[in-house]
Amino acid sequence: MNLFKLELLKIKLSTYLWAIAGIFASLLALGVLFLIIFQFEMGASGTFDDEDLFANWEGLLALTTALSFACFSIFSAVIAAKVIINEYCEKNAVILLSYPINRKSILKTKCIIVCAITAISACISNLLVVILMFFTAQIFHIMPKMNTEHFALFVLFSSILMGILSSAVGIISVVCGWKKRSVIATIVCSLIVVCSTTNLIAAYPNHILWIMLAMSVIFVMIAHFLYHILTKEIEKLEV
Amino acid sequence: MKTIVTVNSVAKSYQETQVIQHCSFQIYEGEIYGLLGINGAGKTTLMKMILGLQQIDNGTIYVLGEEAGNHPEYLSDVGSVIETPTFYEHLNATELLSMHLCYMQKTANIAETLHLVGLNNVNHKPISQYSLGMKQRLGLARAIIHQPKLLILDEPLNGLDPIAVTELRELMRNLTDQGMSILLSSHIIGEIRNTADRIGILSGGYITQEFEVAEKTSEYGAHFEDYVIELMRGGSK
Repeated sequence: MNLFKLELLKIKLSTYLWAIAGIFASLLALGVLFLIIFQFEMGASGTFDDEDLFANWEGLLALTTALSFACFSIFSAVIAAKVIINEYCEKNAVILLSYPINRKSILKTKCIIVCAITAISACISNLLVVILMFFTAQIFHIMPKMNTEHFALFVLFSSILMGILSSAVGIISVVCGWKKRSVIATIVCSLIVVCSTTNLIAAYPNHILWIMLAMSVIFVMIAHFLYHILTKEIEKLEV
Repeated sequence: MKTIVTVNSVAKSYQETQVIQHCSFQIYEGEIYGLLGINGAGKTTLMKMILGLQQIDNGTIYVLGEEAGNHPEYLSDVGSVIETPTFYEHLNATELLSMHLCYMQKTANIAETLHLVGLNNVNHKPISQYSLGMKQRLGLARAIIHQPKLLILDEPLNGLDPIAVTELRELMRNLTDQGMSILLSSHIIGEIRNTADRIGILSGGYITQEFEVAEKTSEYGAHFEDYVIELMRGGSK
């Protein structure tokens, strides 16, 4: 517990809280825009090419979750780069590795912090965005009615899975960035992962939970494997 | 006299370059051991190996009875300032030192240590606002606050004004009087001469010569520096 407190002290948390607030505001603005777009398009021509995605709550949820995944995965890579790459590849490593503490324990703490910040913020942000979209739709009578209880569970599970996925992308990216000892490589790696996988989430709105569950299992396994490689590298790290 | 550090026939190479080879020396309790060598002689590498930051290719290093590298426990009794010290600049000095003590699993009087290094008036300022000299003092405060048995200082006088240099020398002397051992590196002969009890010349990857400062100063007097330069060039008298 003490190690967590110490590692958190090193991070300027307020900067990340502002970043989370910024991501949340942008996602909320996009979510509300998605509600409005559908109404405008339908009002003008009576038909809409992407009706499946915009005309029902499953489609909108898939869209906002996919966007949240993209944003928070990159966010996760940025924190991981700052907390892990910067610490071990810059001069701070000299003092960090001079402490009488097992190197593995420090790395584990750092990874848990990155995953926890990402997963919690991604989950809460996605939940809030969808809840606010729901109330906006209710107030302006935009979207069709739905089974609220079923939908609430649907949103809750997809948000949790999205949080897990985003944090796994952070760990995967940091290990790729470690090979180059570069913050930029970490962020570029997360961009590549995001670009190649985000569409999967939005492609089949009715099966979003299963798709995200499958992705989470695969991503977590990859992240876990890469984490062990990183541990070994840090064990024999020379500064 | 109790041996604090034993470096025994240590070797280290980077790719094809042999930086340290057959290097052996000992540091005893309560002494200041000066490691003198030209730039790139391997002083920092040797210090990093003692701290377990660099792996040893050959030979052994024992610090406070434990083998360096594999067992990080001995590090709680070692303080160090290697190269230019770095900090978490959003913290202030008190926060930084309190964090350091938690990592070291020790307790100490932070205000007293800051007073000792002359930073008691600025301890609530973020470190980002500190000058180079102030950071050097803070690095030293971090190295000594947990009252280590061994202090490793890699060119600690860099960036300090003459008054601070004198104060640091006095501080080091006080620390050794309390039983602390100090390993100090420099490439400036005057700096080492005025501070160390014993000097080891690091040249060609190993300690070519070791001597008591007081003894050689009385022997060579004004020519002490010429004598040491000759040793650093690889000759011996």
